Amino acid sequence: MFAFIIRRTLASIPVLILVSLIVFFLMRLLPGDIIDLIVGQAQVEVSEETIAELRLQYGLDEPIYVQYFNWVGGMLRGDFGLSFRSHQPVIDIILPRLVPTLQIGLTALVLSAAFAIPFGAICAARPNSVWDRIGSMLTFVGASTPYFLAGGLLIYFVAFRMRMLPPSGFVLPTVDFWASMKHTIMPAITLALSLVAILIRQARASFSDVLRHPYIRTAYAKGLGETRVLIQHALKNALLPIVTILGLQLGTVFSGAVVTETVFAIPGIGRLLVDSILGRDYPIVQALVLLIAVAVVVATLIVDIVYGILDPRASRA
Amino acid sequence: MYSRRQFVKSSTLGLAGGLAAGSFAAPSLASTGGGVLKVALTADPISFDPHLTGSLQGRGTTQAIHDTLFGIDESGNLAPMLVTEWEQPDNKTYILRLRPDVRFHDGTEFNADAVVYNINRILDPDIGSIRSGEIKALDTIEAVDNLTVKIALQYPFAAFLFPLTDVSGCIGSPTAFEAHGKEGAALNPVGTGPFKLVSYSQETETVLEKNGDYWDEGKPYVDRLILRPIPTGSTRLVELQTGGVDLAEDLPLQNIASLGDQTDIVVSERVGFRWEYVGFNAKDEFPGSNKKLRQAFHWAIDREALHHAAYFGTGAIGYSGILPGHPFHDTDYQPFSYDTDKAKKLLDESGLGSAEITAYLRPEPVKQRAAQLIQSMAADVGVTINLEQLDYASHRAKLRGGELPMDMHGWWGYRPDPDQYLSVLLASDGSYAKRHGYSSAEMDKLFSDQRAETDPAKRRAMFREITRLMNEDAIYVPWHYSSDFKGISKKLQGFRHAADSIIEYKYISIGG
Amino acid sequence: MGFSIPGHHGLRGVMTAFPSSQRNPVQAIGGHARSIAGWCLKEPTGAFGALILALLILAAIFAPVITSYEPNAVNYRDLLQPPGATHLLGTDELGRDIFSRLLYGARLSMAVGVSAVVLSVLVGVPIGLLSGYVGGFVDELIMRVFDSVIALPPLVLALTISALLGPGLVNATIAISIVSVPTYIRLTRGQVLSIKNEDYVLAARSIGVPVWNILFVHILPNAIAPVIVQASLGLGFAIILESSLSFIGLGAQPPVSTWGSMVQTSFQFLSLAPWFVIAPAVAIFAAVLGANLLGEGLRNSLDPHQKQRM
Repeated sequence: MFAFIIRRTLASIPVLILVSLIVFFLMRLLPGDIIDLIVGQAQVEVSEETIAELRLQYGLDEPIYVQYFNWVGGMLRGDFGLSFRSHQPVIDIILPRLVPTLQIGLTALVLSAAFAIPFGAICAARPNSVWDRIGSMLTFVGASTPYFLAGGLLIYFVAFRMRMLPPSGFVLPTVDFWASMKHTIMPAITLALSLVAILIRQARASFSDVLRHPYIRTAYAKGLGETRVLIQHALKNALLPIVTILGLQLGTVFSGAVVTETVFAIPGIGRLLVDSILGRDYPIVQALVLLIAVAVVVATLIVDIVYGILDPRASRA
Repeated sequence: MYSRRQFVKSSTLGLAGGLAAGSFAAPSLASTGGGVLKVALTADPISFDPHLTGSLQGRGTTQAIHDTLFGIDESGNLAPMLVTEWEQPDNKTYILRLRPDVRFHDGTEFNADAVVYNINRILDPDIGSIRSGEIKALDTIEAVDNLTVKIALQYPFAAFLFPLTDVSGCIGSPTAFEAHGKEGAALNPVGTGPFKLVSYSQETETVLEKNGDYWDEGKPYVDRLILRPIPTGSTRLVELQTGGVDLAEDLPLQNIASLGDQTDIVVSERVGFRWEYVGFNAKDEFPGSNKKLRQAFHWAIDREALHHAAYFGTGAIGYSGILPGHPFHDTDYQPFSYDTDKAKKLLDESGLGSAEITAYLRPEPVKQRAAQLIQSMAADVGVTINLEQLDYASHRAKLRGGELPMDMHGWWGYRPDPDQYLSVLLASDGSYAKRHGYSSAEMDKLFSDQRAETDPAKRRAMFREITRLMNEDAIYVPWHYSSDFKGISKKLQGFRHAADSIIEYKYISIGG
Repeated sequence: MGFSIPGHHGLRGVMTAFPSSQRNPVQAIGGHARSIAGWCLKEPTGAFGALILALLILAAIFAPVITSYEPNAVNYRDLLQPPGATHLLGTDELGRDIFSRLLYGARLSMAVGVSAVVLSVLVGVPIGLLSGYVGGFVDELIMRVFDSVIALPPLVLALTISALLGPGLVNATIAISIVSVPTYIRLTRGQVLSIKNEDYVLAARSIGVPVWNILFVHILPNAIAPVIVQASLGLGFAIILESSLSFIGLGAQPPVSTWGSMVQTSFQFLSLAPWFVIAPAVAIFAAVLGANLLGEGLRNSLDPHQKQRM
């Protein structure tokens, strides 16, 4: 196992190098750069000399490969550069933005797991029952509702009509815990919608797989109630694959974060990423994508380890 | 006292009289006490360095911290600010007298040296300020004495002082600029303005507090300003309606009409924040090289329909690039009407038969509506327009490369002097003119003449001539002046809706 | 109004490990052999799903017969009209008939949604099969390469494709497929890992059955169930994702309508014209519902255990 982790960690180095290369060159393939945006935003006449000067200052005048090695060299020294848009160190921009995204994302994961796993279990235990039908409906609604629509409806009804929660913004839990929770609920529910769709579906599949084992029939035969059978006997075996799926929802949470953070005006990294891509803020995009790559590598590593523990047949991938 | 910016009475064009921008009473002395003003902006200010900030939100916030050299009065003329008096001995020289006893937030003195330092900072290549283009006519600037500055131009330029009403005229503490360096200045602004920066958290909030030693006695009225960037229009509106903020900028157009009957908020409309045109590329490889085709659009566009469908009846129909509210604007100038027969006749004369043009579009809902309507109107007279959407940066890159066959985006941002943008669009050395393949000796002569002219009445006439020639050449076919909207809580007093949409926080107070 | 990137539903990172118990490939293959009519009787749910999808596709094909309104004809005297006798589902912000735009929109939305799902399954499943079965260096390489793809933001991919390949629906479909492929690879690979040491696979290998035969005949039918679940949900995700791509030059361009772009536009008029939002949202829901019911039916006939429970 230890050797496996070492091997995978080493194998992830080429992945990171590959990702750094792809994102670096793809960003520069996109039409337009930061200077186009600065000039366009200000709507003033800018001389050719000033534009040349700006290219120099942003390091865009150098050959692309030189720019790449400057960037990588800086990172190896712990220097991720300055944001093109705000001239502040990339690290100072990214770190504070992680908190809201993680807080809302984790809340959404926990909420959807807490709701979808029992629901999926009931659906599996009573196939074609009313519960199973409701579960299916929830799944279909979740899979066909765009985030912006769900978020917009929540703001309209919960914040505007009912005045129950603040419509937008974020407060750090360390500043005011309850206010922080209030700001977390609606975006977390919005994010959870599609997670619930996937999880109910997969939990139902996982439970129905487990429920057909003989030991479950034995448990029923002993006269145990459905709840006890599901919790005491089936849950343990059904849960592991579901947890594995949960661990791989990073991508879903992240792409959903982009929309929810825009609708709810939350200062998270989803919006930072999109703003930086559209704003051609190369240093921020590059650093964020590398960060995401590290997260993906770690997540898949953990999943593969869990796989190995869970199912010895799959251990030697 | 002059107001710094023009305050135009509510232009309730096309709107039921429910909206009233002009109805705000000046704050009575009794209601001037403190409070926190919460504002929803569309975007984060990002930088408070007056010479490097670019966005409207950056410019607005930095102007709450830094005073500008000049203001604008209600008729659109220059007004005193940090400069109290000025004279023009000849058409290439200005003498500016500065306001005495003004101090920066760091306690240092505001004086002629500070003004010279700031203007030189804009021109410093190491700073890389894009504002340098605005003052490129400058030859020398020097401090005559502690409170007098002398400016000499390379050539006569009538509109020279106007950029100094905006960020180019913002004066920051030289001591602070030196201490913080170029990068540090972005988040450590030190001006003479009504507010000081307390804290800033990107995309979360910007907190400003009252400058207790502000030179303009009694102002500002509020103790604290909290600015929150909220990118989604509908969310900004809900924040305003639920009392989360007291003032929100840029409300969604489709909701404006239904806000008339709200009891606790008022919508202020300022017509003439941007002007919309259909732009053509006159280079040989594009259909827009045919002048008759371009002119046909003057008649093929149903401006009334666009006004109602794309803008929900907000703003005003337009026929020129001189914005309403500007002293040079002429409301009687209405040379075109919706006349498909005339358009078809011009197309026949063009000899093209049928034409097909691609227009690139940025993802803005208003522009999408307008572009689809124009597309349908053009189809009615036999011109096919293909629409393709691009993100902002890609669009700018195509514009820079002169690769836009047709431009549906118009010009945004009010400028106090039309030379500031019309020269960019129409004079041969203007960057937009180059990108649109436009060059006209007659137009260039009109521009150099008005620049050398110091009498505003004569300049007004010259700009009318520029407009006539612009429409004759039809590189830009104007059709609308769109509005800036602010939603304001009724408990606020003293709000003035500036033409360039920048909020003047120092006049606002919170009443009962 | 600020620009927001709408509706990125996560298409990726979904992965299942169905602990497989002993599955009988012979029975699974038997499911294929049945006649369509017989299958419909056996799987009424699946048949109902197929019916919904068939109706949507027919509506798309016969749009000109069903409605007399031209979908892109603007009429600025009838903006945002509520549903009624003249306009069945009302009109949109430019006075266009919503019902007509919905029907014509079905063509593009269904085409993009179905082909994106099919394309990513066709690419993802074989790679997943190979990667899981062969293992070792090949597996390692494939998985690490797709880890990198997962890390790239879909927006960067989409913008690059738009810049390099140009705009259009085909390129939008490619972009959506690239984004979803890693999901199907991981999903299939996970299944293969737990199946490949089953007795019947080992038996097939020991008697010299060729690798492609083992993969597609013995392993695939037992590994396909979670893929079908994912694919049937993926149709909705793809339809929604298309609309967010059209904003950066990929996908359908105005005035052409797709369901996703209709939801997108109508969202601005949520409080003024709620019917405008409901129509395309219900259409997307119907497509997702149809695909899922059909998927469920297919899964039942492919997975013997599902049948035992019924």
